[in-house]
Amino acid sequence: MSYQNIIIAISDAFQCEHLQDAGVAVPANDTIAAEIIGAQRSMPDYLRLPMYLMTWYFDMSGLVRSGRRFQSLDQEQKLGCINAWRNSRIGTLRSFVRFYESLFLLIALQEDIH
Amino acid sequence: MIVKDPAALGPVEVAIIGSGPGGSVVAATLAKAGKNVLLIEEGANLPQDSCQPFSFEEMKQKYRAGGIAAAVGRPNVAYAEASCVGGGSEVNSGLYHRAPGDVVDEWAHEFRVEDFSEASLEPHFVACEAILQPASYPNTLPVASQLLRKGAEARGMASNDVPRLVRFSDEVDEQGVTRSTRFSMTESFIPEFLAADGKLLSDTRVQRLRKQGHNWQISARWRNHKVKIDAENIFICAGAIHSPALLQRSGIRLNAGQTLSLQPMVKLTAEFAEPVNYPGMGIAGEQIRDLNSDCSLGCAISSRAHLAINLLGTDAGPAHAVRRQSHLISYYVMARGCTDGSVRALPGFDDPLVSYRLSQRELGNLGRGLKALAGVLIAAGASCVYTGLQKQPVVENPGQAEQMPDSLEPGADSVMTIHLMASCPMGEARNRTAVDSWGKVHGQSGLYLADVSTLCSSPGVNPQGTIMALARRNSEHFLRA
Ligand SMILES: Cc1cc2nc3c(=O)[nH]c(=O)nc-3n(C[C@H](O)[C@H](O)[C@H](O)COP(=O)(O)OP(=O)(O)OC[C@H]3O[C@@H](n4cnc5c(N)ncnc54)[C@H](O)[C@@H]3O)c2cc1C
Repeated sequence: MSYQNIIIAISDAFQCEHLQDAGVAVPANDTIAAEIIGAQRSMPDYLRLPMYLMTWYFDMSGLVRSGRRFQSLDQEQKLGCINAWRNSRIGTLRSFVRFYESLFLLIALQEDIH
Repeated sequence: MIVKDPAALGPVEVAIIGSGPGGSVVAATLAKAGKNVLLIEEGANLPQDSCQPFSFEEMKQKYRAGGIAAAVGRPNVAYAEASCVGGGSEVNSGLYHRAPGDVVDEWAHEFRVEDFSEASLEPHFVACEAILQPASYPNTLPVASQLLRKGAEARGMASNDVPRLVRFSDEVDEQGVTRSTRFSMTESFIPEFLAADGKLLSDTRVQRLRKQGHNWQISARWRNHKVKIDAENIFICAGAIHSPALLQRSGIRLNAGQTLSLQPMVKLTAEFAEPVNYPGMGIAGEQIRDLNSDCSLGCAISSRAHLAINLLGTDAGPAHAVRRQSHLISYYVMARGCTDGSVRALPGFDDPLVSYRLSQRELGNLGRGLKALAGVLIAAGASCVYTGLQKQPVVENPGQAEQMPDSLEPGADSVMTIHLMASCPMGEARNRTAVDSWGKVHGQSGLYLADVSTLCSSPGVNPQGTIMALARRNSEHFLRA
């Protein structure tokens, strides 16, 4: 139940949603998660702490929606949680999803950056 | 000389904090005039070719916080700053402009900047240009530029290939476009500084400054050690966020960090029936100045990862960037920006809190700029344009471009910036400036600023050219004084 598991689960969900049928080889999810966590560590401190807390909170939000933490949900339920935040009226929740999506894509598709 | 052990440093005549375009120009100018100068930089000293330009690796090596930061507001504005020897010049596209004449006059008048006009700045621009030699593509333009120009011509708008701070090679790519490499500070002013006996201390973050008698004492962290350095004079050149933050940490607050400006940007992606994008396509420096929206419209990085991010929130989605990469190019709209932001050093935190409130005017300008850009790209032959807007997500013809909203939604999620400025404006209008007309911090002796923070407001164009000219102007004034 580590923080890393949550990030792996988020990364896995984005991979299924965005890149599964794209026919592209991407790094393994734990490699992507390690890069994401590394990037988070260097964030400005006024963003880093709220980001950690929100990530835990996001994991817990699975309990309310589907009875289990986000990291333990199946893909469809995970997508449900993501979409709930992505389409939220609260800008901070939308920014949270956008942050992880952007970072995931930057890392997953970096191989042949040109 | 590269300083290996700061503990062995004696007092210096001038310490410069931050080695971006501002700090590097001051350092070279003062060292060449015979001053004993120490240039202190928080980031690492890396050569230009330590990684691939515009890659994720570059973000990790040369950006502060890996390029991930945000100004808090509604919406939050994502921003990126460099942190390495050479500062922003090591990661940027090198698009080169002088501050427009009307902006120079506005600053002189509204902020009461002394001896400040296009004519008085001319020798400083010329001197920096003599070293950096900004240049346009010698022959064929990158396809992204050609398309923007074609669309602009069809719409009766002026478009031009902005000169860049690069060195063109003898090689051309598969489309006949001449290859180039950045001509950054580590390739130009920093070698000049070192050749003039300047001392460079990297990996050293200045925490605070304290006046002790006639000298300043600099408290810094070098790797994991605390160091103290004495200097007669200090030039703070730490950029728009960290210059005011350092002043505040040092107890100097007068108008420091209360007027942060940024040039907000949004991007869209155009799809063409024929292939237009290829590995190694050079930086496209074409820009349109759209007077109706007070925006610049230009070509953005169109790597697979960047395209995918720009397609987030569109029906096409990021996978489209993988499948159709060779048919897609991203473009940006950059608005002039107001001064509605602030930088606040927080006790107990390393990083200052940055906030910014996008004004209705900026949202309107960005909206009209996007609309103009979509129209230009359709006129250039795009089969469709992905706007990322809720109301008009895809544009396929001029009529749909016309129907795009005239203003961006206040909650828009994708506003970002790479141009932050004006957090410590210069001038004699004491109620709104942090430094005098020559960069001297009000009420302090021996303490100066010479970087992007001293611009009075956003110049509406890429700022590096203006920063360097001002840095040279302030250094020469310092030498005369
Ligand atoms: C991706 C990107 C693309 C850009 N493209 C263009 C372009 O095409 N054309 C253009 O004109 N402009 C461009 N810019 C903007 C331009 O690079 C900046 O405006 C410019 O670099 C600012 O110069 P500066 O010297 O004021 O500060 P910076 O370049 O930000 O340098 C400040 C330096 O100070 C150091 N520092 C900060 N705090 C401390 C401290 N406490 N102790 C020690 N060191 C410290 C930092 O690490 C940094 O290296 C771009 C910027 C980015 C990020």
